[in-house]
Amino acid sequence: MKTLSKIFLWIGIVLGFISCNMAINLVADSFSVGGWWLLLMRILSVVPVVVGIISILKIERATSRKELLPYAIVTIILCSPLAGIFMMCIKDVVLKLNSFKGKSLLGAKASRRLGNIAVYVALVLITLIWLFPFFGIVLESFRVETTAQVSYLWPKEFGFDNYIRLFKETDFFRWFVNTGIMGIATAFLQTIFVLSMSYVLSRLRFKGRKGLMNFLLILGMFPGFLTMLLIYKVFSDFGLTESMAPIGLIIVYCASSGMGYYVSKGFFDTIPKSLDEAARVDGATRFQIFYKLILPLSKPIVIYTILMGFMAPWGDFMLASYLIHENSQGMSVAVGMFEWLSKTNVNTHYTMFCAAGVVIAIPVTAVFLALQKYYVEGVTGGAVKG
Amino acid sequence: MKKLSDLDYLKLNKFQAFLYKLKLFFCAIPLWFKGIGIKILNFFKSCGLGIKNEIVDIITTFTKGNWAVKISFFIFGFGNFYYGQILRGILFLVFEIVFIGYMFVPSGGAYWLSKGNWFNTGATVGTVQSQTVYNEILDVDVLISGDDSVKVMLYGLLTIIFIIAFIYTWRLQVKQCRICMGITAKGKKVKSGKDDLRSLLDDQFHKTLLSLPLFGILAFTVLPIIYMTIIAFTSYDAAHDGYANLFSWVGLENFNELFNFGKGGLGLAFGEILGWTLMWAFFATFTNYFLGMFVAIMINKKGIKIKKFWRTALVMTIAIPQFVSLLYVAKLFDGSGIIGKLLLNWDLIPESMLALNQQSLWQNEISSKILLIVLNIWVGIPYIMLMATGILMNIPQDLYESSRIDGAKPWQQYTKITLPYMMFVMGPYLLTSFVGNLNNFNVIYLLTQNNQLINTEIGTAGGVSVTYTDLLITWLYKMTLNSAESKYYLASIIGILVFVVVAILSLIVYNVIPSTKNEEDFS
Repeated sequence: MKTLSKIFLWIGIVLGFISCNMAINLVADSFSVGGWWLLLMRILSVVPVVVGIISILKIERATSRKELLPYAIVTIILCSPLAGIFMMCIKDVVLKLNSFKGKSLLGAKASRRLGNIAVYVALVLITLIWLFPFFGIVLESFRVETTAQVSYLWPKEFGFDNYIRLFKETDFFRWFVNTGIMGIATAFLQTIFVLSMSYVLSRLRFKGRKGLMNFLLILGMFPGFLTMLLIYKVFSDFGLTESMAPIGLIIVYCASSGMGYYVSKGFFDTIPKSLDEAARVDGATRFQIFYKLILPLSKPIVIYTILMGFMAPWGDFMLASYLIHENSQGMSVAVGMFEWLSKTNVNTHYTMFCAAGVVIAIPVTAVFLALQKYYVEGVTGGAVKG
Repeated sequence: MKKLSDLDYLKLNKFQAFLYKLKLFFCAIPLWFKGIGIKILNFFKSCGLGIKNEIVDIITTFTKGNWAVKISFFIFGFGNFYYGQILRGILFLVFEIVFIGYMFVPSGGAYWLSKGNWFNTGATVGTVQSQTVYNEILDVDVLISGDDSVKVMLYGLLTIIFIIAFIYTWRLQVKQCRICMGITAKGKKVKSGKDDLRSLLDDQFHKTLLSLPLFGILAFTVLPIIYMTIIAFTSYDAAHDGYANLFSWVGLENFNELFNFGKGGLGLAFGEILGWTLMWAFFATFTNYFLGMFVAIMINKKGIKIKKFWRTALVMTIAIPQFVSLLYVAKLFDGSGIIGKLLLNWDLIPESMLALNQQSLWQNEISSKILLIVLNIWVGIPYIMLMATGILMNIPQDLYESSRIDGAKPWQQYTKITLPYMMFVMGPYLLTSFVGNLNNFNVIYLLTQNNQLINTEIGTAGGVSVTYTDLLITWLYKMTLNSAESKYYLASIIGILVFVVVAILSLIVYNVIPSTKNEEDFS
């Protein structure tokens, strides 16, 4: 076993070094890199050799099979770029041959396909990494054998225990309803605030417009949550904290939301000004232009704003924890579930946390995926100008 | 420094040209500061000029105006009534009556203002201290509540704002009277109340739309920020909460703590945390930006199929509430999490860390910082990817076509076409995301709160133990919420400092990036 892995490692080292250098040649040729960078890259090509030799030395000292595992992985990693580099080398050879003979062997199509395969490999890897936590959360939420963290992914026993406990033993349902109400109310109010603000700043010209924009920019530089000190004091006088915190939070989320006008302003900016002018010539008032002309054209950004408003309370921890304190009746999911992962609770609540995560993710993701088209349009259309 | 001619510049080799550019850059700095100085001077000049003009204008209005204008100096809206603008007249008159009523009723504006001892160093905010007094009839100690400093300050502030609004309204209606006088003198008709209402949907439509959001911003952001700034000059903390114990004005004394650079001193802690905050914001912004752009380019490459699937897979991460995914991921890298255990079992955690009994990446200063930046890439790339996708689609394709005909390689196309275009369009976004990362509470707090790594050099500062990964914002949060001492005045000072830092950085960036200079370029 040891000798076998050592042989593979030696092969990996040699191949790694050679292919690294070939790749460097290719890169240097095709991107016209030279001088210091080339030298640096050449020095970097020694890395696989060093890693390989260290692994061999460690294998020498390993006593059990389990200890060999990491070095097997090193071997695989060392040899794995080979596939990609090998393909690139073929491409390189083909290109060279093309330039020699003046006619194509593989053709432009084939060489592009080779490039595409590399991109596909990268995309699959990225997708796996990005989606891993979701699979993890879903799998762990069905784990029955223990409620604590474990070091393996696949549950030994599947069951709905965590979900049942979630609704029977905790206030989760209450938190869920709280956050849902907050989400819907915020979505509605925030849309009014943000859209009217951004519409004015984008399409109407009036005295003090630039000044207002600069003022809002400067205002945004203060750490916003410091305002919570005063807001908490005032709200607690009005009884809008602790168990009534959801109402207070709706006010907090919406009141200053006009400051986040940037994305929708960018979107409004992209609608041609000539539309307004034509309507003005036809005798429309500014209100009619806004209501009958621009709003129907701005469906993506309206839906984008609604979506953002709906999702804000689900993700916010900082402001919510400030108003709610430790009153279980008024908690949002974020504040409530945060405690479940503290050192004292994690062993009893970990799998339940995952179950709750799934329960929350279902409505939010459903809404999100249904409206994804508009979200993408809103971001890409609006954020172009930041 | 002498400027080289184009010909001379081209003669330089690469290294010399670089040196030359560097020199140019540093020589421009004093000029730049000078420019800012002149700007500030001009600002004050124009302010002074404006005030002078206003005063002259008011005096001439009074001397040249007819009797109705003169009376409206004292009775709001009188001129409006005189010229037939009943609606405006009523509004102005009501405003005046409400203001005078509010100021002089018992426990009205004047009462709150007089209680405040404004900026009188050593004096308390509010005058009557709450006391427990023995009540003989009930045979218990009864709390007789006195003033609440927080309220005294708040109402005092509101009164001041009200007074400013009053002066502004007074000026406004006097001006309107004069304009009305001018219009009638020319024999034209003044606007009626009906016209006013109609113009709210047309010429003055911006006022209608702005009223609600601006009110929200004024009440819930501007007022609290002014309030918080004033707190820096008081002794407001848990021991002096304003109710049981009045807090008092201390002048600039609080700012002295900033110069305490010893262990646990505010100056040391602020410097250390600011350093990491800036580093974090820089790496978080730029790693996300370049990698996100890279992913977008890969997805949008010609010939890649199921583009929508790749995009959706990434966008899914936006849909899941951040606190769920972040808390879960934090646990994954924990000593008992799946990845944390793997790292441990495969000997991938350096022995130097194990020697210090640091079993997971979260327990070491450097590794936890790197881990935060890496995990932030996971959080941020989908957003950038989406934006970059939109911009990539906007780049005219003929640029690429013609450059290919001229023999440009993909790398050259990227540096000469894609990158400049992206930089130009996303410049403002980079700025806002940098500022956003300076105050990125969620990522830092949710990832590290359950794995706190106390900074032993600082220890406790501002009443809370500082961790290696604390940003200014998380430090502030803990200072006001998690600490028993709740030193609000320190939080206020740090809030002001954060503002100063952010403002300076933004000013520099704003002057450097090209796209902020002309807003209309892209419409």
